Amino acid sequence: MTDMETEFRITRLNNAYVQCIDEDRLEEWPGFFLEDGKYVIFPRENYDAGLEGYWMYCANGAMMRDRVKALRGVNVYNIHYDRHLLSNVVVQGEEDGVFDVRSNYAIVQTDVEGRCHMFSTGQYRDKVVEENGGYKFKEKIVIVDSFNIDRPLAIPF
Amino acid sequence: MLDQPNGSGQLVWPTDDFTRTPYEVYASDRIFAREQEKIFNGPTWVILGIECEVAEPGSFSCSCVGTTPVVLSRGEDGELFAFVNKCAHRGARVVRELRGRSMTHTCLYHGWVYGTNGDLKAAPLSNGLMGQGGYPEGFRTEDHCLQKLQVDTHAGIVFGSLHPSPPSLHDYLGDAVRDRLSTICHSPLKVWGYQRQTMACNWKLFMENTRDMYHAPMLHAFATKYGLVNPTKQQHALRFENDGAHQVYSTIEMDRDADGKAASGGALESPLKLEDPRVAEGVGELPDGLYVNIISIFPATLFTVAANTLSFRQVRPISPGKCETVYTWFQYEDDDEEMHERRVMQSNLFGPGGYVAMEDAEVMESTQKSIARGYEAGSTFVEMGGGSIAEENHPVTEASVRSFWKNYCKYMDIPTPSAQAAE
Ligand SMILES: [Fe+2]
Repeated sequence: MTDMETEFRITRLNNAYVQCIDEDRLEEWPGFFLEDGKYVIFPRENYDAGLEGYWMYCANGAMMRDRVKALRGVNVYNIHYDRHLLSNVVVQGEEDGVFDVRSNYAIVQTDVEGRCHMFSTGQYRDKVVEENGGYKFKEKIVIVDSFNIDRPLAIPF
Repeated sequence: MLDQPNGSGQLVWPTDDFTRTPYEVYASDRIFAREQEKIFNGPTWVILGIECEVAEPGSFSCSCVGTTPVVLSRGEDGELFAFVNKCAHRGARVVRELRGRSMTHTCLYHGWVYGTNGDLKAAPLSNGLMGQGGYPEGFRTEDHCLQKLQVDTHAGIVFGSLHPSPPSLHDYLGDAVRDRLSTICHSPLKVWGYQRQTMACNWKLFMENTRDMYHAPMLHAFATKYGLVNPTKQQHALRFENDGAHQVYSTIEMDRDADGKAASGGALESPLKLEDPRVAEGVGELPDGLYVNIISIFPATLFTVAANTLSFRQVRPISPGKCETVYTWFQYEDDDEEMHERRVMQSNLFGPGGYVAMEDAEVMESTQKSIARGYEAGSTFVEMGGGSIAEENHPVTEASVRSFWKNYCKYMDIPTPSAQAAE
């Protein structure tokens, strides 16, 4: 059982994480992770079958910063706005200072002509640790239920 | 437009040299229906998977040939079968899971039971109930099997054809495709993941893209800006097979080790650098310095082997304005941890979020939006490299795109203007 304050602060970490992405402050995104933190977008088809096959695989902060730099500098994708809907942040438990956290996400995407559609939905499976008085992701595995993607995958989930 | 000016409704291609493609072919319902008949139910072959995906008796895997849902299945004796996933009774989907293992397949609706080869084993209540109902005399299960596909393999890759008498797979693929697939699939394979991407574009925009090397340096700036390739140490080879129906495109690295494998990815001093360069650190695996291999097999199969990423795709038309690609990542069974990790790292380059790939979906979808509202006339301009359909040793040509359309017209029975005039 985690205390309410820890639960509250971990929920706040997740809220800040999705807000950072939705407000296009991507340069701040790697800062939500430990430097050796891991970020993976994992289609559920593969996860359920015990296969790896990721959509995005960042083994550390350097790979996350590389991703942002390429998105800003060279990659081209659909002009859009993302809006994360985050719910059900649950701290499953804690072991050796690592909190096991799960939450649901949905991303509603609005295109350049103002039309929106449901882009992606799934579950965040996080390992969260305390560092210098704040909380950070040691790991964030995005398990994508909607594993048949229908737009380019540019911005992290 | 494709119609004859005399209003006969007969189709004619706009030019003899395939340097124009009418926008109509990306948008029209009648063309889409004709493609299903002439191409996907015609004398062609489409990839269904690799043998290891259906290794055990009863293993199955669902996919599509054109818009037709099909099942690849390993029979009781180890033989491969493929059948249309549509109950012979009233058309319900028989196999509902994407993959799995079962010695029988039972239709939900009325409980018709099929074997691993698609044969009907039993139809409940055939003899009626307490003397009432039942099928008429002469009902025989063997007359109501699932529609079977022709199935054949090359180098462990399984292809299927809906046509009752297609050319042999051996002849259809031709030497160049068979040889390259054998080179790539040189030892037992293993699948390590799938990716599904639905795109709001016509399937032929995707296939053209696989045969268009001209776009890469402009659209996929990541490769040049991050110095993934060194053009001074690289050669190109565009080859055709089966009268140009298929493309085997390769880049060949000049710096090689003693085994003839590329010594490095030819990395170049570049304006931008990766903090973690592992994403772009390929090692040569194939002989003769082969590094990037894009094998586009008419109509709807693609192999992309680039550095240490190995994949194939099945392309599925859904409607004139929509298609789906299913991407299968594979590796060798005997890969060590280090090689596997390399493949995972480099997979960041490809797929829906690939550093050198995400742009393709965007450009194809925005093209579809512009050209295919259903009422636009006009056509594309495909003259890079002139009007020839020749094998070249450089990428600055649209010869392979022209070659696609030449074959498209052949299968679709759409004559060129001069063929039409000669009739
Ligand atoms: Fe491309």
